[in-house]
Amino acid sequence: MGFGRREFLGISAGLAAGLALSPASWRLARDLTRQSQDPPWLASLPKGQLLEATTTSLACPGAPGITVLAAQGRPLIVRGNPEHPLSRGALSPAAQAEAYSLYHPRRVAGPLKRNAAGALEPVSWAAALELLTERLKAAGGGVLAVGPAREGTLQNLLAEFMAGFGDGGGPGGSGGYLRMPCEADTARAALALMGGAGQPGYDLDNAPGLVLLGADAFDSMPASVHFRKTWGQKAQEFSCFFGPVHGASAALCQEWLPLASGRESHVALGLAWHLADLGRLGGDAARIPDLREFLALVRQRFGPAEVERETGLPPQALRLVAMQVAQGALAVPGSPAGQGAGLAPMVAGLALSVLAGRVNRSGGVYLTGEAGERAATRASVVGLPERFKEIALGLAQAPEVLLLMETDPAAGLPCTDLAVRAMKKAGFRVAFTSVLNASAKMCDLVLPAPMPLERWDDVETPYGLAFSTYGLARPLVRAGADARHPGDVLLDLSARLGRPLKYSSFRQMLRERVALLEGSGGYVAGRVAPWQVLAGAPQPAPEADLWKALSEGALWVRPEQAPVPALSCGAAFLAKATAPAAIDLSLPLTLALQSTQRTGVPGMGVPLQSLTAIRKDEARGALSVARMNGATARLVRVRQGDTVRLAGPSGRMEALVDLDESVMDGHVALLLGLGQCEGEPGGNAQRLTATTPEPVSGRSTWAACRVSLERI
Amino acid sequence: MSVTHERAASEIPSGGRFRRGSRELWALCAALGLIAGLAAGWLGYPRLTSVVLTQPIRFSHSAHAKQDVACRTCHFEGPDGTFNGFPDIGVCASCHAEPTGGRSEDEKEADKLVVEYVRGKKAVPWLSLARQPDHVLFDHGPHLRFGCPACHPDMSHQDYPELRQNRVSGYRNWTMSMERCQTCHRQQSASVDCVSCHR
Amino acid sequence: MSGVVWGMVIDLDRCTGCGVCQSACRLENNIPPQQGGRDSDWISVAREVNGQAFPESDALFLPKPCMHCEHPPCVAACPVGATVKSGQGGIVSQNPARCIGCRACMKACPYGVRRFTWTDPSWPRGMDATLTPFASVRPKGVVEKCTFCAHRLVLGNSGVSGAREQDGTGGFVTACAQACPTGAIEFGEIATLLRGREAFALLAEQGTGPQVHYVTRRAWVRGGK
Repeated sequence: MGFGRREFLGISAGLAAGLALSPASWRLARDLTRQSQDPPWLASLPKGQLLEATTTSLACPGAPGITVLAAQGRPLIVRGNPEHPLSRGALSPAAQAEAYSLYHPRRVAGPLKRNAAGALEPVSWAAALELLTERLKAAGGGVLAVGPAREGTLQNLLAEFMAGFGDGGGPGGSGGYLRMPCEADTARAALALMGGAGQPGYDLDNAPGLVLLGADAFDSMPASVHFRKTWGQKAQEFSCFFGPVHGASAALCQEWLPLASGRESHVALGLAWHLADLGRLGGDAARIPDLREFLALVRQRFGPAEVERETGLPPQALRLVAMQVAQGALAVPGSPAGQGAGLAPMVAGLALSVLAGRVNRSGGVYLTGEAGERAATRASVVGLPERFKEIALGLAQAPEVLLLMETDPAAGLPCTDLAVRAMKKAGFRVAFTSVLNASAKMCDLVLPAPMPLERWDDVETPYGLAFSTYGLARPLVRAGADARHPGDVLLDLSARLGRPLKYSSFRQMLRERVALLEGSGGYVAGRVAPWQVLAGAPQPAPEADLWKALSEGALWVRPEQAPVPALSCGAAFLAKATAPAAIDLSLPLTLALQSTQRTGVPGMGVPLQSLTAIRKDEARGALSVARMNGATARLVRVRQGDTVRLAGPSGRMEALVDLDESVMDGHVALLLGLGQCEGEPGGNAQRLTATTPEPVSGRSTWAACRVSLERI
Repeated sequence: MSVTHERAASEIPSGGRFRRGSRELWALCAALGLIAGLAAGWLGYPRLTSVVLTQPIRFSHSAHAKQDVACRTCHFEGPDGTFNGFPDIGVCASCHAEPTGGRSEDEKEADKLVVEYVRGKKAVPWLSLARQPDHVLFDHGPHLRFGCPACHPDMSHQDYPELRQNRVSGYRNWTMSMERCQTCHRQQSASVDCVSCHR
Repeated sequence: MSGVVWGMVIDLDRCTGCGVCQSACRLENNIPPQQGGRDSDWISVAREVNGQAFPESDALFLPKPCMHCEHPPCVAACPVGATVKSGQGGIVSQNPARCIGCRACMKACPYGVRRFTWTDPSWPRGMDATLTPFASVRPKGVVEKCTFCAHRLVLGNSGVSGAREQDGTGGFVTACAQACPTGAIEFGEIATLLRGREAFALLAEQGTGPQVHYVTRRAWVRGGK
């Protein structure tokens, strides 16, 4: 007897038969199927109770109220708060990004310091603050701070902190407090020039019609979430958009009237001519101090023939629009990119409302007062692009210490190459930031800041709103990094510098701010919306516990029914500022910059989840898409899909050509906000821009840059 | 079959390499193989694929019930009707703030809870018995009226229900099968559409 | 539930192409950040043009979710019953756990709104902590699509079950419609939404009977579709 091959086969056959008769194979198949349906190597879903919390969005410039859904203390998703007057359930991709941005791949985990080898290395907070204090002490007056365009207590604190360094912001000084350029500042300066005070706001809610004089009211304008919500319900009303590209704002308007970049003031003044010609000036037009000069200017230089020559718009079209303005349509001035326009288009556009008697009237332009002090009023008279240009060209002294407060000038300023050169000249660069953006990468010290949803902060009247607002954001989650609130760091620094400010913490500052609001005539928006008060509804009583209401995500509003101020039309300024400018014919195309809230928060980069919201006609891979119409493409000899090199006066970039008849002749449309950091889609169109000083005001303008284009 | 038999008979010379006795041995081997196979299939496979899980804390429901702790103290609906599932550590901490220092098993477990979780404000990673795969969307709210034991082990009868998990599928011994869900849904005339329970 | 048919009416004249519907959908339904340039959105927003040269040109943005057809060709094509026309207001369900990834439904769908998961989903490190409990993480090799946020019908609009009492089924709304700032996307009982409006459907001649309808004042859009 031996155990041979036959016996082995017998056992095997028996085993096989036994296994086949048992359910093991079926169970294995079943288990594998179940595994494939819910693979253990994939991320698992949150369990347990879902909780909702309401607060205000810090990331979206429109400050909509948000509802944050959280499980196990972790925010999962951000939605619009239906109860909040600036959201009514809607929000922007930037606000939606607040939850997942907490896990931003470029998030700064702790303080970083540049070492001898030139790399950023982790350092303790104590060491970082000691180093910064030392450098600030040594710098004396040569400290320059750059703040974001957003208004709020943090910006006020930065301005106050910088005031401690003395007035370094005067001509020739190297220090001071500057802000990233924004349309709100331009609008405020325009209003000041016309003899008004505060920030102009546009009462779309009560306007029977809308004329967008270049203003990108339905996309990049801070108040656009509110405006879209409002105008979406009034799509039947007359509305038209003047601008070089049929984009988001044109899409919601009934009519698109193609207008070359930088020609907004001509249309506004042309409309003023028609308004005067129709004899439809406002009832109190006689009160306008420079009415006679303004009408003389308009008659002399902005008659239908002249305007048609300058803009290509037929007089009949303008006549129809002017008739709508006469019947109450609201004119909103601005620039299609929400930046880079000078004062002239603003003054001309506001003058139209002054002329039609629409200031501080329901459905018109309101001058919103401050909800307290405003950092903007304390910023240096010279703007940031101008100052950086001077520093880069060696015309102004470079600062000893450059403080970047949650801004990214290296990617966000016009003519980025000059901005980068200026930043490199600074002796010591410090960035307060939550993500390592292009500017922070150049800095010697990076101080991590908490993200939205992790911090106390406030937001004030987003530009465009016809009423003052104030909202609070509260921390809903512990900071995911070794971060400190920049406000608290500034307070700490001022104590270390031997001139402590009178606040114990940033939160204390906010509390005092809210206490100040309590007696200033506003109310917490609830059943009665602020625009209803503007339309004549009685204003509700103020809230008893304002801090509690605001920290739970409510909005303080103050619709002001102030008397109609005596505004001038800025005739003397307009006469000089709208003189024909020289055109560089070697650069055949005009850049039609586009800007959108889809590209996220400046300095944070494109939100990852919104990547598909960047359409294929805006960026493909690392290349931006340059859109132009067929006739323009023939003119510059390029075809659909060509890779081209665009060159401005001082910078260049590559792009893909996309033929799009939504762009008017002679223009090339590029989206801003892309390619701000490595690995992001598209290229940064700010590299192509170059600033030119506006006549009289001297402000930098870059809304109508010219570029050349060659196929590569 | 018969053909092969005939061929086998004709080809194998009797008393040759394959002796007569080996046929019985072969049969024995085959039978042993069959038994081994059946055993492996019926008994071995489930043992191989299942793993016994132990809760991070040996929580005794009866010990808590004896102290007159109501079920609702730990398992409750939120103000908006949402079911909390496991209590968070704050609920445990409200009674177990300090270690008891006791000697009994339960007291030792309670102290472990205090030391490891309550003091660190760390959530206890409780293992859910009736864990469903992620493609199942189950909402406790509408099911509460059927009573917990309709789906979960009845905690009034067993303190430490055995918890096994399939290594391959990740299913647990208390995981509900779709058939059971459907049966009950049909009885209650509730929806049996895919969208009602799958996500 | 009987008799209710859910649907959408999308006002093309009100869409500004802001993309909020897309990101709201991505976040709600755990769609991973785009990889490899393939379409992964359950609702796409494409620019449509009238084909004329400037200045006669006109353009609009066309949001396109699953049409939840009355006679869905995908359901007929599916060999395993992973996609069915449900009794829950005519929502065409998609059950990725049952899907075998044969993609017959994608070929059958005339609207191109079904997406195949070419890779296992992945999120940047840590970001999977923001996954919602509303949609499973679909593995590689299955087809997925818009479900009209059916989980909201089950759980209530906020995803919190207790909120359902206040919302009622009448308040059931999808994530995209909720987030849309201009109200271009309206969601609800389709018969009520269509009342008194001149709406049209995409590829109506295919006879699929979409439950998503469009309205616009532009004649060229209707002509071209």
